[in-house]
Amino acid sequence: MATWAEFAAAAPEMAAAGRALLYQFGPGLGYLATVRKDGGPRLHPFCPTVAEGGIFGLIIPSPKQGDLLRDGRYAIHSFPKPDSDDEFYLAGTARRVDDAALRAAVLAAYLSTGATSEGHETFFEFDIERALLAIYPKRGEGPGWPPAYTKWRDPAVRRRS
Amino acid sequence: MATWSDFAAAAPEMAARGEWLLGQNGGVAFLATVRKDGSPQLHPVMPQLVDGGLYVFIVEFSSKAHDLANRGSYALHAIPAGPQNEEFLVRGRARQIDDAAIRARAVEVCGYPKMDWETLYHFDIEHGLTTTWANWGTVHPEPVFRRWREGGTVEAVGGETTGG
Repeated sequence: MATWAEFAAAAPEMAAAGRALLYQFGPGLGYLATVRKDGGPRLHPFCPTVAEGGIFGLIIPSPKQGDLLRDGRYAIHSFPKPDSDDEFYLAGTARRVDDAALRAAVLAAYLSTGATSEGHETFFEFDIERALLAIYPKRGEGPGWPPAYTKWRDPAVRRRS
Repeated sequence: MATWSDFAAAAPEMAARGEWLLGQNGGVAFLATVRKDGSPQLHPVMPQLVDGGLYVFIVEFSSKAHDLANRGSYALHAIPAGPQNEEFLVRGRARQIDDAAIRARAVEVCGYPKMDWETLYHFDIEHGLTTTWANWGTVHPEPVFRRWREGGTVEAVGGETTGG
């Protein structure tokens, strides 16, 4: 799996557009899907942070934190823009970050966007297996589908069946 | 499993907020499903309420359609809206609808034609969750959850460990 920096080095325009979509409202904002203990999906908004060459989530004690500690597999999707349906999507595996210096740097980046911390979140880094960017015309300007898709897959990850 | 109307009968205030939230942001919501290998995936969809049921048209050759055919389990989250970013989530199982009359009603409510390769799914509801916020606009907003499970009553719970 790739870090955000490795993804951005391989697909810089895609990473820049994706980052802009995640940060379109100020603090990072996206949907996070995880897998429940029973194998079903769980889905909630969260605040991703792109910093220090990675993409991170500060996750409070919650069912989704339990999912990530148990399984780690995730999907992240940006929110729609006010004037278009552009999409940015990541999938891979999250892992807990215990490095104190890295946590401090990520927290500083997170707080600098105006986001708030309760001080007891668990830090996860989202390693990236696949990324997707979909660019649509502005709403009301021409046919909305299909969008222009750009896909990226970590070449180190064997293609799934 | 429960239909939307079953959910609305048991949890009318939650269902009313959910219906309002699902109607915001152009009717777009986010659908999470689980792939064959057990990993999650996530896509925008346009759910609609038709005659007491929650339905979504899904392109039949899409990966999410495969997920629903294989496992059926889903989570659907409205885009947060309102002055305090209210949230709404339902979870359960989806099933394909082949009944031509139901499909015709869904197309009618949708308001524009649907292609043959857009399959209609009914979303049965096992669990509903609304989230509002105490102390919104401060540095310490606190989530307030209302949760409903099929066969139960609405639980109003605060605290961060109780979300869905």
